[in-house]
Amino acid sequence: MPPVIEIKNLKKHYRYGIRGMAVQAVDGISMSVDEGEVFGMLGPNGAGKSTTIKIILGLLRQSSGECLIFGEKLSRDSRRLMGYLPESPYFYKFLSGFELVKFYARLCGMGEKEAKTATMKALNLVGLGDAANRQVGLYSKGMVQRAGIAQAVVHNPRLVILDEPASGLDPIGAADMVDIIARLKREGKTVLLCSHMMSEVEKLCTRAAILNRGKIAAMGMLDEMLAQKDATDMEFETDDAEKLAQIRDFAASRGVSTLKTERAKISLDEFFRKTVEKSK
Amino acid sequence: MNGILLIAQNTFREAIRQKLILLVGLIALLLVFASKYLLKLDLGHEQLRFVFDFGSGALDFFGAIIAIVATCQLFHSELENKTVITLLSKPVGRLGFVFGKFVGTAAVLALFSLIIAAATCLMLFITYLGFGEAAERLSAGLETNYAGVFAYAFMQWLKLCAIAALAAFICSLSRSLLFSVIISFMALSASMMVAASDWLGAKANLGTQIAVIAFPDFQVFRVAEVFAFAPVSAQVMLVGTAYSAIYMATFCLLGAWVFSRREF
Ligand SMILES: Nc1ncnc2c1ncn2[C@@H]1O[C@H](COP(=O)(O)OP(=O)(O)O)[C@@H](O)[C@H]1O
Ligand SMILES: [Mg+2]
Repeated sequence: MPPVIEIKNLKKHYRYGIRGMAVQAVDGISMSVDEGEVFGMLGPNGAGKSTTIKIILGLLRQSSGECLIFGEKLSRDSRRLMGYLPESPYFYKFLSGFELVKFYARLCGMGEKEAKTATMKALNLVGLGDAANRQVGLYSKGMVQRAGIAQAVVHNPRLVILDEPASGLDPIGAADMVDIIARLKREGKTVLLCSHMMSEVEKLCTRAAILNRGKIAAMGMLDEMLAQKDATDMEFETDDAEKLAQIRDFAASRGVSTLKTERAKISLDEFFRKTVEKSK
Repeated sequence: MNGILLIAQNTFREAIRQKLILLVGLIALLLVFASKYLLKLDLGHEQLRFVFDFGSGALDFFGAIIAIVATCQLFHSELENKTVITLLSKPVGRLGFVFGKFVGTAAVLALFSLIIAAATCLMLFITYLGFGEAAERLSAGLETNYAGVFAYAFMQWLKLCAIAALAAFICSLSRSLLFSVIISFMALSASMMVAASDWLGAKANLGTQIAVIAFPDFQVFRVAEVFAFAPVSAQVMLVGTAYSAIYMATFCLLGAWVFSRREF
């Protein structure tokens, strides 16, 4: 089977101003995303992530290079198999969440009845079931982002492209987002996840690429890229100083030095979420 | 095709929920209703004609405003709110986008024309009733053709659609709402001037020839004015419809072509 996305030596420069000054936004990127994986695209602001995504979607034309979706050039049919959440999305304020998502479902070729069912399912997936009949103009930033995800998955696409899905979300929203994406992955969808928030990517992705100034600075399996040579983390179910000293001594007797011993902690992120949930 | 209709429906819904367009429509409607009371002079048999002129004037003037403002507003709101990015990521196509927006605006204009025509007919009827006993003398053989009023409104709708198509083309080129509106109004004035110079019998040269092709020829639609008090001529209707259809298709296709070269 061909890769879901295959990019070969992609380049894009923008021209601006009357003198046609050029910015090289994407500078020779090659990568491929396989069926069923969550691929992370990381990078600082201005690295060229959104530009690459827009070229994949045909919203921008590349200056050179090639981009294939499901092994073919982008077509109307392949668009039907893709879902896209734009960076800081805006939607029709005059529609309700339900009308909005149904509109996109219909555009993807669903019939009225099928679209209604799919819309309710998508809204429930992202936790907007209760706000379905409220106008999008009254949604909070987090809710708009959720509606954006609903819109991207409502037509049951094979490939979902998410540009900064958790930007502007609180830690609870971001954690929900991670859950939603994990669910998409379990359903066997391919996800291209673009983010500058490392923790999301680390939780979700098997492979990732790090972009900087339009070039790929590193790419590969996350486990392999992050694994430290000659070091192993262990966690013991005790906080007894004496026992820990014995363990350290035992290790030393085997010629293994202990690099660090510290109290196990949960992340601030997790603590915050638990606190808020408890006080509900 | 399905996509065009869905986008058109959504565009129509946006327009209906938008206050500005509603306001212009309301003012036009009030003017038509006020026509009878604005008439201070006793025009006698000219009264019916006066009432009709008021209706057709509202259709002409406010219709042109709505055609331009609605087209530009509905087109640019999509660009400025970036909703176009999500929309074009769906299996829609740039052609579907431009035609969908246009058909949506045309539906708004149809609604407007229909309402003004109905209001005009109502006022004509009320005026006629007001004549009372003297109806014979005051209407002076002028018999209102109510169906003709609607036929005239239909022709005006075709004209407004042609203006909207021109505005849609301008929008596909431009990057700002203000620019689109200003250029569209300039194009509208140019069309009126072309029509006027044509009427005055100015000599044709290359410049006017281009202008005649580029700007809608309002004369084609204006001749329908007589339908209000005379039988409807099928030939005039057919010529108007064909002319408008060709004009709309040409400018929408041009707009779609320009738009397909844009990046987002
Ligand atoms: N429409 C545009 N015109 C000119 N330059 C642009 C445009 N869009 C993006 N750029 C530039 O291209 C570079 C990459 O932008 P982008 O792909 O949005 O980065 P990222 O999504 O990784 O933050 C940036 O330097 C940005 O300023
Ligand atoms: Mg970006």
